[in-house]
Amino acid sequence: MKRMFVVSAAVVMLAFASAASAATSSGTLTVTGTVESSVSLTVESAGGTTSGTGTAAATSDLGNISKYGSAPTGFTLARGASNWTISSTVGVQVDKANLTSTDYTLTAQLGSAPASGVTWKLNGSTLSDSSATTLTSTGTYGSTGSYSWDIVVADSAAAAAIDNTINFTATSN
Amino acid sequence: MVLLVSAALPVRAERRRSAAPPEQALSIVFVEAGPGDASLKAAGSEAWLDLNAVNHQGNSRSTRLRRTFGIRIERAGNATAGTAAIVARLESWDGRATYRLDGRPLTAAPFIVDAHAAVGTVTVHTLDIEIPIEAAAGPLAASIAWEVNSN
Repeated sequence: MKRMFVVSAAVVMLAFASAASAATSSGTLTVTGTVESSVSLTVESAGGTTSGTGTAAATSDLGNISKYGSAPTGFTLARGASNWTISSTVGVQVDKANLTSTDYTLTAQLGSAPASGVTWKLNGSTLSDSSATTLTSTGTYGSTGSYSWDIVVADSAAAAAIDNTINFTATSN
Repeated sequence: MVLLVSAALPVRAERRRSAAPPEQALSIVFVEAGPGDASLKAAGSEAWLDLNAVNHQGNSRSTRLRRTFGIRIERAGNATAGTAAIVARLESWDGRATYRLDGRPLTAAPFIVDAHAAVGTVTVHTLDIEIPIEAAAGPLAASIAWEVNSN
C-alpha cells in the first residue's frame, strides 16, 4: 500500500511540471492593398515581316514597295488608275482584369502625319495623326479582332519612306 | 500520510510557477527578410504588409505577388535554447485573393508552419498572394493569425 502511494504522487508532480513549461504567444500579419481594374492590348498579327506580335509594340517591315513590284509579305496589291493599294489585316486583342465591363472601344491614330500622297486606312476609315478613329465600340474581350489595313499610295507620291506608327487605344465601356 | 503529501504538493507547484514564467514566456517577432522589401512594416508581434496598388500584368488568368518576411521567436530573458512550433491560419480575408504560406494554402484552419523553429533564430517565410482576374477591383485585406507554442 505504501509503495503504491509513492507512485501516485510522482505522477501528479510530473503533470504539474508539464503544465508549467507550456508557453504560447500570438501575432498577426495584416495584408492590405488595392486591386485595380486594368485592360491590356496586344497586336496579335499584322501584314509584313512582323516582330513583337503578342505584345503591345509590334513592328511590321514592308520592305521596298512599288506599284509594279511584288506585294509585301502578307499583303495583296491592287493597282488603280492613279494609285495603288496594299492590303492586309491587323489583329488586335484586348484583355481585361478585375473589371466588370463587358466590351470596349478601340481607336487608332497615326503617330505622325503620313507622307504626302499616302493614305493609311483601318477598317475602311482613313487614319490621321490629329484625331483618333474608332474601329469598334463593341469589342469583345479576350478574342482577337481583325481589322482590314490598307495603305493607298498615289502615283504622284514621291519615292520615299512611308514609315509610320499606328497607335491603338482600348477603353473599357 | 495522505494529508501531509496533499499539503506539500501545492507548495512545490507554486515554487515552480513563480520561478518559471519569466524564462519561458515566448513572443513572436516579425522582421523584414531583406532590405529591399519596404512593403512590410513590423512592430513586434504585429506586422503590416501593404501591397499598394495591384495591377494585372501579362495574359495569365491571375495576378501573383510574392513577399518574404522573417519570424523570430523570442524567449523572455533573451534565452535562445529550445524550439517552438509555429502555427498560422487565415483569420479574415475579403475573398478577392487566395494565400499560400511557404507553398501551402492558407485557410481558416490552423496549420503547422514549422514544428521545431529554433528560439532566437529568424526563419524566413514566403507569402504568395494570387488574385484572379475575375475578382472585383477594390481593397484587399487579410489577416493572418500566428501562434507559437513551446515544445
